[in-house]
Amino acid sequence: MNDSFDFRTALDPSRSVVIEACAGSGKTWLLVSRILRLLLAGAKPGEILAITFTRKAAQEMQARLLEWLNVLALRPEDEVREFLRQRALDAHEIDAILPEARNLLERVLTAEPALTINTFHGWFLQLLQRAPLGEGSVGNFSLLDQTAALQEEAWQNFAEDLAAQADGDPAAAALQALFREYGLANTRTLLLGFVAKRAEWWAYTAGEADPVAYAVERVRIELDVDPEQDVLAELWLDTVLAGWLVEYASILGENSPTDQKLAMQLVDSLALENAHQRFEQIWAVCFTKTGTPRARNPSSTQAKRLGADKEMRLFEFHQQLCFALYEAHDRLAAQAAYRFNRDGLLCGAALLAAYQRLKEARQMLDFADVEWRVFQLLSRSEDAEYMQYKLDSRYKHILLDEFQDTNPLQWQVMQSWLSAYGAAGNRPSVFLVGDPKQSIYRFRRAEPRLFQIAAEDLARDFAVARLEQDTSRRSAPAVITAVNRVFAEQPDFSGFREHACHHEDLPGAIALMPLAEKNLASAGSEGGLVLRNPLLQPREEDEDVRHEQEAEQVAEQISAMVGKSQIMDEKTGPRPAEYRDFMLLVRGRTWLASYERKLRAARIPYLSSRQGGLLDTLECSDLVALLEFLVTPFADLKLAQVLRSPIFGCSDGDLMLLATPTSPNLPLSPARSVPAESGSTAARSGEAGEEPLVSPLTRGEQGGLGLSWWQRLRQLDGEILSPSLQQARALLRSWQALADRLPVHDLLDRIYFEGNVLARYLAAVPEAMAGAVQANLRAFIELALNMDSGRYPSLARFINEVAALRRAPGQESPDEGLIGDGGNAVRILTVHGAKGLEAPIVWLLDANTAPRNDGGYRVLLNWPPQAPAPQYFALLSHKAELARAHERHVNEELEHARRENLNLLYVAMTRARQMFIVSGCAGRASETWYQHIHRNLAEAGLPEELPAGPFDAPDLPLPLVEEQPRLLPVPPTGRRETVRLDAARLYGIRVHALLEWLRPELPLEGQAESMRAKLALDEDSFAPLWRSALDVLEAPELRHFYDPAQYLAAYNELGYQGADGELRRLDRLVEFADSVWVLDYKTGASGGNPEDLAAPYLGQMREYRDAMGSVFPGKAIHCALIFPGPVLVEV
Amino acid sequence: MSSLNNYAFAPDQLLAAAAREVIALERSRLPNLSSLTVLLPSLHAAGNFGRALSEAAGGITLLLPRFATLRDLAGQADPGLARVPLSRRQAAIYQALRAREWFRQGDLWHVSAELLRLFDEITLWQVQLPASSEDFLQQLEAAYQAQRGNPMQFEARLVHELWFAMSGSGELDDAAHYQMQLSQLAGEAAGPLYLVGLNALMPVEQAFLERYAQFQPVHAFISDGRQDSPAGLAYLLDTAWADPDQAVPLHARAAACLSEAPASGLGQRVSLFGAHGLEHEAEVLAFRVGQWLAQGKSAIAVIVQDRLVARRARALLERAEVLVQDETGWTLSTTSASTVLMRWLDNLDSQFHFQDLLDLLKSPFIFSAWDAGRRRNAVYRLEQLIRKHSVVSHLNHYRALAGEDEDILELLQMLYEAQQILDKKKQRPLSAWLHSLQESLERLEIRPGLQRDQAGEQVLRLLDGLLHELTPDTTPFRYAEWRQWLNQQLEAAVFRDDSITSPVVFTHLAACRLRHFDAAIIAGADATHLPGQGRESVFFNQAVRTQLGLPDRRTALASERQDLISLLSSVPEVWVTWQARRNGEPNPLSPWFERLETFHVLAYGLSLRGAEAISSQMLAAEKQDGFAALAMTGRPAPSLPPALVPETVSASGYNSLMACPYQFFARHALHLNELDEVAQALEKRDYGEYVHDILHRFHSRYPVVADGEPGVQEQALREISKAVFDHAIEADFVSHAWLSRWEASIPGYLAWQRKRECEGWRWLAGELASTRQIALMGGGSLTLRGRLDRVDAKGAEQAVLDYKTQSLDNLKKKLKPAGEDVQLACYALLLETLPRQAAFVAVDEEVVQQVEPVEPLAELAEANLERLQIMFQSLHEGEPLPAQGVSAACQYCEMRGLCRKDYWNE
Ligand code: SF4
Repeated sequence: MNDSFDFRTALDPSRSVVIEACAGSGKTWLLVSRILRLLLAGAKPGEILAITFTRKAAQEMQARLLEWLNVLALRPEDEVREFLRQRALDAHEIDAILPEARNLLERVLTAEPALTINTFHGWFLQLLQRAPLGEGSVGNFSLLDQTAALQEEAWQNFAEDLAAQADGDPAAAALQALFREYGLANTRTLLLGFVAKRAEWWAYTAGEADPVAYAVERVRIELDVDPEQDVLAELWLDTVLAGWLVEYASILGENSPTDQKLAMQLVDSLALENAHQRFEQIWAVCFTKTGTPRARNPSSTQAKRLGADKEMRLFEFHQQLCFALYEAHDRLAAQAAYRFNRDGLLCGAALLAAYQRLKEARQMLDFADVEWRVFQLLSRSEDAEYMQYKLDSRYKHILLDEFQDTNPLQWQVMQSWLSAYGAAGNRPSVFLVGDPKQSIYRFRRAEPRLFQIAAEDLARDFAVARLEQDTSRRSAPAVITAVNRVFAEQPDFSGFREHACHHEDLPGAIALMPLAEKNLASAGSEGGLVLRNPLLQPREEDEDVRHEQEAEQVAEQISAMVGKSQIMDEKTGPRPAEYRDFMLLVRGRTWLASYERKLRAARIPYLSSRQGGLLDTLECSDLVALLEFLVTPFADLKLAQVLRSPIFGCSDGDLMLLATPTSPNLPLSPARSVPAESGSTAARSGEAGEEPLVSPLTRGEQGGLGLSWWQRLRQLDGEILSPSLQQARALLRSWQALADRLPVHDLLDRIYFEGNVLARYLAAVPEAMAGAVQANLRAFIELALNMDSGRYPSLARFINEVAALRRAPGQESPDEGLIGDGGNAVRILTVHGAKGLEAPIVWLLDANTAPRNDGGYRVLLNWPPQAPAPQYFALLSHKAELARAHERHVNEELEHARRENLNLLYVAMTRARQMFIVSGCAGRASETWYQHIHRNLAEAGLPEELPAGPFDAPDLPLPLVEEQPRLLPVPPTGRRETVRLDAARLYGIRVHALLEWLRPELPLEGQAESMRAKLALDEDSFAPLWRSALDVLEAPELRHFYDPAQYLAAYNELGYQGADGELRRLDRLVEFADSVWVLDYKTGASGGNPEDLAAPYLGQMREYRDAMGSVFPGKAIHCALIFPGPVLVEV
Repeated sequence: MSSLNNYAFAPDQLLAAAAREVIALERSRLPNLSSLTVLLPSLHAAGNFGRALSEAAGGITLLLPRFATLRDLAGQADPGLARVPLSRRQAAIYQALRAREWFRQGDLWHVSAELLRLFDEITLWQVQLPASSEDFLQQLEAAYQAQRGNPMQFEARLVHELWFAMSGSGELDDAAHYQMQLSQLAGEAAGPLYLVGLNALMPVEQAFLERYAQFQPVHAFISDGRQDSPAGLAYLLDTAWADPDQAVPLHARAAACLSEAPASGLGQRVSLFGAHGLEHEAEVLAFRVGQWLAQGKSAIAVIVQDRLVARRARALLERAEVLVQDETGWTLSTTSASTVLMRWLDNLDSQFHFQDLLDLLKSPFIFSAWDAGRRRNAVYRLEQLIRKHSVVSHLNHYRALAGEDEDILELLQMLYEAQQILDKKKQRPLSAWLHSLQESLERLEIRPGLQRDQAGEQVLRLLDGLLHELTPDTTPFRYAEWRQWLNQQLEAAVFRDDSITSPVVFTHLAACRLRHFDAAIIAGADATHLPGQGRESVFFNQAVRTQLGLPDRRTALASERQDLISLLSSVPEVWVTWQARRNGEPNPLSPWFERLETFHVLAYGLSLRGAEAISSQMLAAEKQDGFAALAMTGRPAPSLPPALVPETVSASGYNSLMACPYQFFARHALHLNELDEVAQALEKRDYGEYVHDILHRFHSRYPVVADGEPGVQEQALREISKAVFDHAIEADFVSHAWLSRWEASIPGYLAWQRKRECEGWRWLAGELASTRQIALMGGGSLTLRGRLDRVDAKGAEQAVLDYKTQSLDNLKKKLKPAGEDVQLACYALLLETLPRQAAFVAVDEEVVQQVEPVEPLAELAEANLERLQIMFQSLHEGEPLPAQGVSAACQYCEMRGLCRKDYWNE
């Protein structure tokens, strides 16, 4: 244990603490230890609120806590003492709390309310569900976690609304103006970008009656612009300027030939009517294309040409003119920026309104809404107080993890929450951990500067202790030394302190692989024109192949290291490296496919949890094609894909068979049906369920094939079909019949099973992909199961949903399947995705490219972390001059981006436990991660290569293959009653019910209505039933069975337990003084010979008689059947 | 005067012990026990109890007592007062909220449902609300331990005011009706009453017992683990799950348990299994059930805590021909039967958006009088028309498409008529809405379709029932309100497939009381699903509920605990499964079992986890179907039979052949194409076509622009452009953007055209379709065809031009490698005499320019011709067509699913 860190203070339950802790220093350890200490000090679980950044982190924390509580409960006492000692308790304290510690697990597990470990979002949802009832805040909302599809719909609604407006509608005019100036794509990007920043927008314009007007006015002030000013008219009215221009032109006319040309141009432009054109032309005379003033330097030839005086005047005029033009230019740019904002903000707000309306109509909230509502809720002090007592949990201890990822709104919510506690004595303890160096979520609105601000706020109000933890408990010294060299004393990386190392003996290395070079373009063909024959010669990739080379290097190196390099496993000690020990990191996903291709070729199993990539994989595309075919059977291409997929494994030859035109005498009438299987009599034309055979509208021009492929497949003679096609035909037919009725998940399950899908894909894909493909196929079926909790039973809907998901941006579409434990594969992740993970060997790919900057159409935002709302909110375009108007803010953004770029590298490097390897492609960019690492290592004289020769690890014995226990064959089980209750049986059941319920001793007519209600029947259906019942009850010859005056007792639906253990029921039993009658109602057949009618029931009646004989000894037992009529047949 | 007698027995002995007691108490009546009433938690237990009685009586034939649940029993009493159905009460509360203008933006149906739930609880738990609202508010203040503020005052007022408004109406709601029934029953008590296993009674029910006991004896038998012998399982469970607030510490309890019973039977009975994902858990579940069946077990319960797992497992079991009797059911809204209903209404809302429309028409429930083949025929034809003409919505647009197709017209007509029935504009009572809905379903022949389906029948029954109940209610509702309400009804109703009888039952924990099972699985036993969360009321909080005397979480937990003890102690084999990892995240086990496990390890040193490992091989047991791993991981390279070698090739076909022979194979030999998509907005491709159209129209009118007044022609071009875009803009406002884009290029285009005219070129023709026969060696021939955008002439010389809306740079790049883009060469070949010039015109730029191939045109055309001949000759000879596109070609290639590039092993 590193003793420089003050664990005692950090874990002291009575202190509030802020800890800045470096990567790999065990933040989770600290936080969960703190929770333990709180509990041991007597805190109730319901009094603890811990918030972290991702659900996964929250779940892991929960798991860790449980694991430790189990340790406390179950391990031998000295082990428990040691465990507690590590958590900064001394022997004394341990003695005192030991019994409590042993019992803690149970206390936590049974706590009501329970301990809360959640994300901000999760916690906000919890709050909202308990929010005070009142205006607008109540409702059965559901959470919308995929917003892209709905935003798309909002965009359409927005456009429709505009179309419906009169021409004078300002938003319509504004949108048209944006279209004109910036085009459709940019406008869309801009406006959707606006919607993405809705929370900031709301915060910025909170309380404004006209938010757009307010925001536009702020832009105007910021730009210091008068939108009405006619800049150019004023410019051209300036007589002094006009004089200069003339003189300037005349001097130029005497100068060099180039200048003479410019002079001509200037003279021409002065004649131009159009003020704009004139300005542009004159601008071109004074400025270069890049917008800098043309260089005008004294020279002796020039002086000779013009004379010293004129040369001086030339310079003067040039300078003055440039200045004046520049001024005007700036004004114009500001005006343009203003107009852009005016139109953009107006449309953005209108689009946002459309989006909000849509959600409201569907009773949905997205995360931004949740956050905003909670923010509003808690900023009303009365409601904030209400929330405090409305929750069952009364938090006395608040722990915040990964604080650098918090956004300003979240922090304000937290502040409101804290201030609702009122007086100092009631305040909770606060524990805040984070690392501003690992802040990489600016795009999700995280604000790393909050860390310092929050720390200071807390220092003021909560007397916190501030601690720093800079010891890595993860990485080897070699890695940490490199980290120290790369990040210390970087002007862009303030706040870095040198890291120390916990595992001082862990072997490690850092290496920079040589950069992949661009291969020289192959020499062009010489001599005459020789064209490539594509059948014989593939076209050469004219794309950049450096990444392929880099990938090859990676694949080779991995193959060389697996089984050779030594990994120090924390649990098992030294062992040779496996594929799973590698984590490949990329900044973006652009080149992922190249890397994967090379790994595949090298037979290296990999898992690339491509965010949002599930639906783009070939296996999922096959399944979607299959489903599409099932709803749209004339989609030939889909069918072809399904046939080619491993589900059927058809060859190209099979496809050609289906594409070959059949005999020309095949009629093409649209209504004609063809037997589905030649020779089969089962499927006849016109048979229900067959779909059309001819699609009159398709491919009229393409060779006159009137039939769809599916029709042809069904029609072709079975004998000429390959086994694959035969199987396809049979299975597709049966699936098609199911597609209408089965929910998607059940349909897919049948497909997987009958098509043996998993096994077939396993056999048909490259080994390196096998694990991933299996996982994806499972993930797909899970997607079908999960989609909106199974609320999309129609296949067409499901397909639409899937298509929408596929279009959705990365974070929203489903990720590729996660492989269950035990997949031994290289992981490929983005640096963002790797946050919170670690691996023995980390490889940073493509590290020699400069970060992409955030350019483009977007929202420009200035929200100082300490401010309650953004100070400035404007729109930016990619046009340089519009950006210039906002230069100050843009520069600030750039600065943040530079810092975050380094943070990202820091995160990447600190994922490595033992080895950190960097590779990349040669290129022009100089400010790259690769160069940065290289420079700093070189300066410090640190090695940049993998140590020569791999660590040789002893061969380990192969694990034994477990013997398989014998499986018993599963018997078919259960039956389905396919025959529905027919009318006769239903009738019988109802008559029985009436006879059971009716009370014959009371007037019968009076009971009719309530009986009808009980059976829930209308008058017409009830009448015959009623008649039948009355027939029995009112028949004079049966009277004595229903008149209480005449019998001792009577029972309806009487159960008895026979001596044989069987339970039986009698319709009615009537006990008289000397006899007992068992009556059995029959509602079916009537008429005919009574004996014949009764014959089937004789056995049953005998059974009754014997049983009743033993119950009523000494009485005569009569059994009788009552048939409609009524006819009483005694047996 | 009789009395209320309570007895407690260990859960696994409850039935037998209760039976013995009954026989002992009622010996005088034997063998006729028919005058007794025995109340059971569910009728599933009746058979068992009957047998137990018979056994206790020495195996004689017995006339059995009347078995009933308390609800059934109450149902036999008729207090003679009308009961207001739930649906009508909800409408009334809705109305009350609306009248008070509360929750103006909220979902009133939701609030009213919540209020009803609360009011029922108030009745059933016999909570007395103070008459004065001030008193109630004070009560809340005390319970919340907080000062009143606006939110609390509102909550108090809402509950208080509406409670008195609703209960003061003099009508009986369900709960009050139940209460009346019970008190009537108690008054008529005619024979002794026995209760077996009814551990948790509501206060109204408890009150009933007490009153009943004043007239007739009442004997209540409940289960209690503490009554077990200290060595028994129930005792162990009861100890493990002791109330931690009062009990001895864990270690002490464990030690005590060990000393009472030196060995635990639990290890053989209970297994905890943590799966690593949903699929895994479902597989294990199905596997376990299958093996139990194979061992001959005949009553297996799966207690469903997580619906998804159950659903997945059910599918897996059905594969193995094991049918499952599902007592848990699904909400009606998830069945395909209710979807057709919703889809019909969606169509009304979206003006028959084509997706909604096709979805509805493809449903097997609609137009049930038609032969299904005929309906599908018509629908597929309609779909093709819709795709081809990109019609997005509105019945009259579809009708215009249908032409003479009578089937389609008839379908559309029926939809039209059904639409007329449901007039969305009016405000109407719920029942009137329902009535119209029914009529429209009738018109669409959906009703008979639904009648043939189990769930469909339930949907219809639900609608009929609601219509019947709501007829007296005349409150008007807007269409949207009604629809929301209807959604809620379908959401709340549960569909159970009761056609299946099986020894494997999916059920709830509480439904297992006193039932016999050979084995059971508790599935989805993680911390999220067990303890069951129940639906928390939006009113108050747990502490306040406790204070007010409403049921709280403790009540629920106590009965869950009891059920678990009963289940584990009476079922000989129980598996508890959960997903130890879920979506890659750790997912904790249910605290009940976490505690039990720890307790068991402490007491006996034995873990309950993974008692029997299930290896993945055991689960997989994949079918071997002789499917050889065809060479599916290599590039395909098919050879064409002569019949499939295309006889015609277009310039774009040639280009495709250049890009990738396999792509050409699929597109032009197999004739595969993506189906047309219904375009909802103008796309880049359409834009290109529009521009072509505009320029053609323009030049047909103004072949020469140089002579005219420049302004006039520009004006004309603008007008033509507007006219061409007009339709698109009308359909979609966003199309303005495309028009603007084109308008920005107009001056540039005219300038280019003028410049060209200065050079002496004159527009000659446009949109010229042309073909050329090419003789192949071996006698065959090939037709090259194409449509030329434009031909210019200068004296005897010609030029062929192709308008492009791509960027100039892009075009230059295209032409750079010689002979890779063949379009211009082909066009040159398609003119009778070789033109002097062939060029792309980049018309989508501010400065319009043309680009030509660098190679001399004649040479290029000749080389292309020759290559075409060679290639087609070799195709006829069986030369294969390999898949070998470069990444740029593959990126948007629609044949990727055919060539299967993603799986190539290279
Ligand atoms: S995806 Fe690529 S290789 Fe496959 S057919 Fe298309 S262009 Fe050819």
